[in-house]
Amino acid sequence: MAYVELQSVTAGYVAHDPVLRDFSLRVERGELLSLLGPSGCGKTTTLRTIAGFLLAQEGRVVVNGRDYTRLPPNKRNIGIVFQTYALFPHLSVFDNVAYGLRRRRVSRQEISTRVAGALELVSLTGLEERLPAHLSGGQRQRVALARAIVIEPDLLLLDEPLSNLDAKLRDEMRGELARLQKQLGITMIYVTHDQVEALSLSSRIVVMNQGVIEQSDTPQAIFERPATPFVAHFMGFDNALSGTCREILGDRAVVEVSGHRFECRALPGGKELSAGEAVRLLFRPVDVRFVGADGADRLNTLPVRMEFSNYQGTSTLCGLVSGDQRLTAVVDGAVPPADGDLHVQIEPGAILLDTVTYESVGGKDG
Amino acid sequence: MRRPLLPAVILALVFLFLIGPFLVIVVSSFSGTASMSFPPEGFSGRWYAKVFGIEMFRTTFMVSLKAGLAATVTALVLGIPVAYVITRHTFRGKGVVELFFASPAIVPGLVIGFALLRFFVYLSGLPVITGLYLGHTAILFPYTVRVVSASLRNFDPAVEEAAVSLGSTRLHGFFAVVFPNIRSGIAAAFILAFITSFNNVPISLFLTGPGVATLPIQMLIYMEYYFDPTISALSSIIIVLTVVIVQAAERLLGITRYM
Repeated sequence: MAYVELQSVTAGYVAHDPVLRDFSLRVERGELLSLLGPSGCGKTTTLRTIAGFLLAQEGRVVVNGRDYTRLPPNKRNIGIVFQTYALFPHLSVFDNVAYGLRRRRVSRQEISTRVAGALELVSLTGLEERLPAHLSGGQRQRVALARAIVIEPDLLLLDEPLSNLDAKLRDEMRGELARLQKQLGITMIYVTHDQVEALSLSSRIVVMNQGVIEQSDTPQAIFERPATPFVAHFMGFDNALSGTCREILGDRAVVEVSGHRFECRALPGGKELSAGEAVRLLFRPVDVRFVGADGADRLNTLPVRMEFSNYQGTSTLCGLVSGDQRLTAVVDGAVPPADGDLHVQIEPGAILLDTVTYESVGGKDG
Repeated sequence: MRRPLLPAVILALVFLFLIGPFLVIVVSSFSGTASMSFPPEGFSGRWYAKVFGIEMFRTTFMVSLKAGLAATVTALVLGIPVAYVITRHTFRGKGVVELFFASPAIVPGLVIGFALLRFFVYLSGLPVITGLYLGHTAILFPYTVRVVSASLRNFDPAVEEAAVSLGSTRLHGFFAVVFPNIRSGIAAAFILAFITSFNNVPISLFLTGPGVATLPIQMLIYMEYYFDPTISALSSIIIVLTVVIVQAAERLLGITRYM
């Protein structure tokens, strides 16, 4: 049995319309698992169910071999870091961190050593007497972390802990979190909607959408081989070209887009594809390359017209039109010379195939 | 740059409209003559001395104070849990409950007073002071619920969850981390409720009886017989006390943000 296990859990805020239905999740000991998805995807509901703030209507929650399903949250030995930090405003840094130990009737002496240790771990030594109001955002975050880990929890839950920090601090704290996780070997479940955060921190990412797990895999696999169109879109496959499947060659498919021949990986998830079927090619803007005038007859190329270009320093964002289809490209440095016909090329390996369902026929054109 | 004149004039008029009556009362309380007139003729502090000399004012002040304090404390003790439930939980019929707790603030005081009279005095035959206490508790309840709710709404619910995740029960968490942080809201509720009780006329009018009256009722009775500046002097004392209490509480606790 896995260290943390949700078995066919149904949970939510109103009885007749649960967010999670028959939801199962396994987390191994020592893992840093990210629950990634847009708001409303059920990631926070999952976290709250594990924490015990929401009781599963059906199914079981097991942590470290103990059945937590009906256990009230104060009896679960789980540390939580909240998005808003949720420090106790009237208590000093020391008392904030000591709170959980006092509830556990730890001796005064042990409290001071353990609090000091936790504060040292998050580099806050010397700020024991400060009130939360007199700390910076980053320092509050560290107090919240120290408070959660000082109780030596079986599991650490982090609910978008970095979303209230500015970009620079976020990078710093991310590194800090990774270091702590390695140092303490603590099992962490990390909720975020930020793919960069998830990719850089996690040992495994679970992408969720509408209460369902879309894909559960290593960061690299999620980034390179999204299993569903949803994951692809979430992972930045922002371009979608409509085409028609012509033939299947093993794990490759040949697709015709406005009379141009494209080769790409076959449909993920082992779904069947037949010749003549309408499909979409999904790929990232950074995988679009401009090729010279001789590129017209090379593989996977498309003639395009430049609609706009936004110079952004290290890269340039280009809005392109090909026939009645739009795509965007992000290229290094400045814009290529825009005179005459432009051609773009997309490597076969960078393209994912998606069958065109009824809803997506309209495509994205906004 | 020229300051626009019209807004300043309007502002001055609004202030005059709001504060003017109070100024008239305070000025006339120092009148040298026994009849109320404005502007007063002469200057005298004897009306203030007279206020303290009238025994009915002293006894009714004590009635107002006791009934007001008891009703305020009761309304708070009952109001805090209600406010907590309303702000932290959603449940079926919550809107009805909220409306119910707001109703005493909406229904005219005379109607409530009459209803309470029928209920407490005629039906249950309670002593006047008890009826007064219960009646005031009922009208203060919505104020305490409202003000405490406002301070609870400003307090991040995750803080309680943090306490619970660290081992507190919900109840312990409330007293350990919520209560200390909504103290100024509770103080605001206390002051607002007490002042409301102390100044209340319509409810008290129905619930007071022979021998027992609150200070405002006694002031009304007094005015029916005497029209000298004693009432102005007493009113001035009440105004000053109210301003001092609210100002002090505002300085110490910043209570007005919850009202």
